Amino acid sequence: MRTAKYLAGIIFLLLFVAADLPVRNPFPEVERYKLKNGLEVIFADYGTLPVTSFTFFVNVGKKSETPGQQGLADLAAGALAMGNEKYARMEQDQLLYRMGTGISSGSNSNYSVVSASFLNRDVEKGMDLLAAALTKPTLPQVEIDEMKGFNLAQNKPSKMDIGQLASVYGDYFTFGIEHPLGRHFYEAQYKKITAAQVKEFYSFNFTPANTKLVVLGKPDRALVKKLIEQQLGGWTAIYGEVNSAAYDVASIKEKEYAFVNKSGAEQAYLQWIKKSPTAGSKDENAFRIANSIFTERLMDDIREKRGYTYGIYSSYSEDENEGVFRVRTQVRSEVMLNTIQAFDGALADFYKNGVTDTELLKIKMKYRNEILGIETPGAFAMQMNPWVYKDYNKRKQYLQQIEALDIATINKTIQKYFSPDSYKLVIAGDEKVLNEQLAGLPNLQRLDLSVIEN
Amino acid sequence: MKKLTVLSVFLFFCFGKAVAFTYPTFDKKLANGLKVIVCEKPGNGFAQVEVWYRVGSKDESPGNRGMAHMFEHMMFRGTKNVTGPQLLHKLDSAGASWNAYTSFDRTVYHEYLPVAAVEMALMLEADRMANLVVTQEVLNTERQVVGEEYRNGISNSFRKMLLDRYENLHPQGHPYKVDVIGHLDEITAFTDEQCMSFYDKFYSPNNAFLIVCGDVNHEEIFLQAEKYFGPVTKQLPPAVAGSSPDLFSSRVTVNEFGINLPLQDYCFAFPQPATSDQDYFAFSLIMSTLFTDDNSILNERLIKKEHSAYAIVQTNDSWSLYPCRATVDVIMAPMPGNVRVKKAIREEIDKVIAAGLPQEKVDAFIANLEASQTMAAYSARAIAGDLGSAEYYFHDYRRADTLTDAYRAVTQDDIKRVAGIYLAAGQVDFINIKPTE
Repeated sequence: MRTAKYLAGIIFLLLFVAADLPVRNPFPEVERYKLKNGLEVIFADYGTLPVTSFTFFVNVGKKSETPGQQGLADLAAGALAMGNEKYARMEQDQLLYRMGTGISSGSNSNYSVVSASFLNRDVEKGMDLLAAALTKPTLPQVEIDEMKGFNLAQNKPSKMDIGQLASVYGDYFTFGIEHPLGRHFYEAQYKKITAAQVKEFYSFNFTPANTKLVVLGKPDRALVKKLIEQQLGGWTAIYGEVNSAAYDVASIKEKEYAFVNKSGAEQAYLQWIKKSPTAGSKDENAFRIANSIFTERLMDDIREKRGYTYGIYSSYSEDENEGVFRVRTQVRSEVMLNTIQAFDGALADFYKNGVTDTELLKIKMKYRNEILGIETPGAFAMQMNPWVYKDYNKRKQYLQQIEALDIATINKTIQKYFSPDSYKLVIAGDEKVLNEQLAGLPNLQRLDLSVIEN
Repeated sequence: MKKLTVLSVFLFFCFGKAVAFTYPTFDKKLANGLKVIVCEKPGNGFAQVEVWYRVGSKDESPGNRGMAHMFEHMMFRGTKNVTGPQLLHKLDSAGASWNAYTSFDRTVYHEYLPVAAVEMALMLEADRMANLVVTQEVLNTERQVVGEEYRNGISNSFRKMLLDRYENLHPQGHPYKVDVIGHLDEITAFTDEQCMSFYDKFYSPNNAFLIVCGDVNHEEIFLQAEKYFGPVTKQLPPAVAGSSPDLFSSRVTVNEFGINLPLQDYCFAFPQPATSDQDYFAFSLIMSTLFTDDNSILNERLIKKEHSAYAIVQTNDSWSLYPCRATVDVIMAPMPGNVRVKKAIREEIDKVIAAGLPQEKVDAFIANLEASQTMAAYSARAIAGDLGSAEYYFHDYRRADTLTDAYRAVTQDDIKRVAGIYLAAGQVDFINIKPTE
């Protein structure tokens, strides 16, 4: 008993001390400029080691794909590191390997990111390799066919696991087939994609004015600026700077249910989709805080108390903002309906009662430390995506903005986005096992291949 | 007994001058046997706290398969002094990023948090080392949670294949015979008595060590460690190094397997020395340079030149307390003619046995290691992991600093000899994994 009191006292004291420490601002002062071709460059010192990270944010993603182009954004980003006019793939990889690094490239719904970090001693060669990959890729047919083969093998609807099915059909159910985020690639369409199409997609979207470069670390600025000018100053947009992509926000006004069958599945995968603030909305910070608290509530109820799941997460991030947020979980089949009911209860309670002071304080600390605890320049660069955080001076005030959020603001945001009356729920599982429980869901839509192979 | 060493002499040459990143690292052994290792890495005001227990699924026996991992979950469920929710609330309120993991060999609890909260983390870790409470009621819920973790794993076709084939790799009686996740029927039947018996048998200060790495002062951490862990009096008998069945006289018990994906996977399985074995570094160098690294001989040949494989991956732990079966999976499109991949692999292995590795590959490996270590010097978490692995497997965290030297000392004769032992034709088992439809 004495120990317990002692522990509680010490912990209280430590938390008080921790919460009261002056907070440094981790967002560095930046220097920004544009090359003549429109490429914007943002420089900042971050960290103490002689390392420089280069992160190119390109304003292209799934949103940029027109009907029939499903999968192109991912293929184009992925193929950048497969060799270029200056370096064959093998030579490029050998040089990068000796430098202890590699080129990372990928895309999401909104953006593609191409990045690498180099020791300063290697920055000249490294920049040469990275710039060649970004601006002069050969996008070879054989590599693209391999990527397609591997992606198809893992993404055939008949072979997808329940998480993949819920994701693909959830996008369709949320956005519809006419929407770029609602379409998924399928075998007949994907097999037709040629290297020439990838090249055209690349040429149209990977252009200087559609790209922003964040350079972080401890660079020799004069040298790196010179290298950027040398390597990227001559980069031109073959078709001109004509790229642009925007999409409509999904409409979710009532509770709607959809089901995808996966024979033999031992679990049911549940994905709820609800409207979130749109990109750039003033609600974003308050929403993120509320959403994190909601995840904690769900974890506490559905995992810790009921033992239905290993995890339940409500996900939302600014740089992947699609105007919706998603709650995902995987539960054993027999508790599927119980889980939906528990979710509904948690959502209704959250909407009605809002958050507590204790929850808000805790999440604020988590958000603060997530930023302050970042260790590498490459990781911090992801907090600076200039397409998402257009006003850097505002972004620099992020910690103060979080700190200033009060309970009334959070609860107001909850009223706006956490209504218990509307969501889309996609369930994937074995219909033979789940049918009885599914019968309890009104107007259930059963989805099959025909809806995405369109 | 305090010692000062210098961690991470990450040497590399820059403009002809040697540049070193040195983080002072200290250790102290408490009277109860807990070794405390403190690395003073300056940086962002955060620190990584890790408690490594020398217990893993290797310590399980039939009937309690999955207990080490199950028990890891229970360590978050409360003590005599704090309930499970209180424990997590305290960590969360300090803004800690916390978790734990269990492997065949070890169970590690870790927190990354502001230095002002390190003392609290030490207090909570010491408390659960000494005062854990397991009730059947809480265990019943957690058994279901772990059951779902198991089902999550097998809902993915590739992971299901790996799990299903796993028990065919090691002979009966081997400490790694059963995968860490264990058996679902046993997990969902665990009792509080089984749990507490496991706790009593394996959780004590003399079967663990503590690492703190970050913006900390070693003297303060030693004082705090003494204050919170010092009173933990529980002692276990000195650990006796166990033995494991000879892998050279056993074979994998399956040579064909199915996977519910349109992929073909050639799995090559062969003996791997324990990390403490004299052959380990030569073996590890061969694994990276021949099979798995981005510019490995087979990666270049099969993926980049011949375009006959999608990926080559090592699917077992590369560091192990006991000799075990290494597995390398070559993932391909299922098509006639894949057998040439099998031939190519044997051909490249035989070249290494006969002539060693190309020196430029070895040099590139060393260069990659040095540069990677410099990059990793950013991260308190990465450093703590490296220190922990070295302390666990070599009983000396300072070895983290000399790994590059150990690789540099490997000669071409070592490579030929070790390849001849572990990759001899008679030792490499082959499992052909094909689509089920």
